[in-house]
Amino acid sequence: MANNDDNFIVFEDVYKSFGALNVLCGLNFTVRRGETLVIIGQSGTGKSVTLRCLLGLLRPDRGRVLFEGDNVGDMDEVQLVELRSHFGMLFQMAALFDSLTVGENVAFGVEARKGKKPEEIKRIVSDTLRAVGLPGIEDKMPAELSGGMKKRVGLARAVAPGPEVILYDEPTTGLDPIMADAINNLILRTQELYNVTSIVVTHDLTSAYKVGDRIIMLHQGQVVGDGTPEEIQQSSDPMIQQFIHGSAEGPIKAIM
Amino acid sequence: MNFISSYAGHIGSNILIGFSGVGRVIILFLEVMKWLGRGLPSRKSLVQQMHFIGVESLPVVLTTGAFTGAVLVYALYPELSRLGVRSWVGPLIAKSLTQQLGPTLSGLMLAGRVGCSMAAELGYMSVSEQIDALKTMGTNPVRYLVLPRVICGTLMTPFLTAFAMFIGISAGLILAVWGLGAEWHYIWEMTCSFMEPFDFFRGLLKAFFFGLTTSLICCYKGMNATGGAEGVGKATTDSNVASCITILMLNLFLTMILVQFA
Repeated sequence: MANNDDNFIVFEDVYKSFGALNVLCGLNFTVRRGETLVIIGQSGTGKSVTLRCLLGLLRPDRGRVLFEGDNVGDMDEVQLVELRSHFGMLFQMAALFDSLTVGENVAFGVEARKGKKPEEIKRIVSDTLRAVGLPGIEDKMPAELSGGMKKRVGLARAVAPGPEVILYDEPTTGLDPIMADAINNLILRTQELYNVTSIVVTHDLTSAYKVGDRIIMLHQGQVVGDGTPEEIQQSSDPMIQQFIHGSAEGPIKAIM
Repeated sequence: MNFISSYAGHIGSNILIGFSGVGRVIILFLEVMKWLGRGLPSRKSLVQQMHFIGVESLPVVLTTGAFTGAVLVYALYPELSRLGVRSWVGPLIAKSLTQQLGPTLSGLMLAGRVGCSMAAELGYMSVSEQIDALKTMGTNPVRYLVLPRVICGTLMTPFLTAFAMFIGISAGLILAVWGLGAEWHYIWEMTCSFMEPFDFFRGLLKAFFFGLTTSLICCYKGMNATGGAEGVGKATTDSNVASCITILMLNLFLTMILVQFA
């Protein structure tokens, strides 16, 4: 059991290319059940591609992505639907459905997965929106919301069906520092309330230190650093030091 | 020599891209049929699409039909009068509108109004990760987005074409009588004696296939849009060009087949 929980999600020597562009080049890491793993790294190092491989939205060219021991790359469409029912995802730009109201957006995953009664769905939507600090906005359209509100509705939509794993793709990008901190608090609160496993992709180090139990750093499609927030901050690795200090000078080339 | 070989290579690669696109649209069609076999999409999405494709397209299609009928009368009537067969204007307008111009022009207008909108909407959903969000929530995007659009596009195009035919023939005949002084009795009699139900069926069958191919092509282009606003623009333009060319080619192909049954 302990072994299963330690290897809840496993990336095993994963490669992924787009034409001549090699994005993941032998990616290896594991995620323990219940932890919050933060993936940091430069833009274009394969952080978002990693999340897409985990959800089966992209298939690796080589290597294995395992969820509870099952290889995502071998799954057919029916198995992928079942796999995705374990996940909720907050997309970088929230990806709310423009043609649906906020309430319909949050209810979408609940209706798709559980076949609950309309009154129960309405209650879940209302409770989840209250949990992200946006009570009573069910009838608004996504176009009427600010960037921060969209992210919070996106989080409510990800959480509402009751997933085991929540994936956050750049949750604080494009937000002011106060709203970014509010989102960080929501991520922590979601962790407490729902006891989920979380994977957060970001290059916002304030957010990474605040929400992460463990941080891994990607560079050129491989893990170059792995540790707690304190270990990452105290690492002597020049690449990690360059990244966390935001310096253009160092082993990581800012402009290729 | 280099120029010639690079030009030939360019043409060859475009032909291959074209063939691969046709193959992918056929695969999308098979996937649509698979989902259709498992049941209809929600009534709400069908009503929404029928309203958008059908009701909201009526003004465009009726205008196209009316002006086409009117122009045909003005072009044909003087020539037919010179030949002494001016009462033939009725059957000529009716035949050309039901068999060729009605379905083809309605198809082209719908490819512009409806097809571009489908490609742009799905293209925006693709580049803004909404399609990935659908998949993440266990919803198949072909079933949720493409199936209602293809069903409504395929069924509403013949329906709109029938309106275009009716308005076009009516506009033409009324203009011939009131504007050019033709005798109503003769042209109506001639029209009725030359027209057969198969003429209407032929046009509506063509419209059915135009609606099917246009909605499939536009959904395919939209679903596969990449690269932000520029990608959505390219998907929209490509969908319109591909739909219009397909309608024109398909019209020839269907005419060649249907003429065997006339």
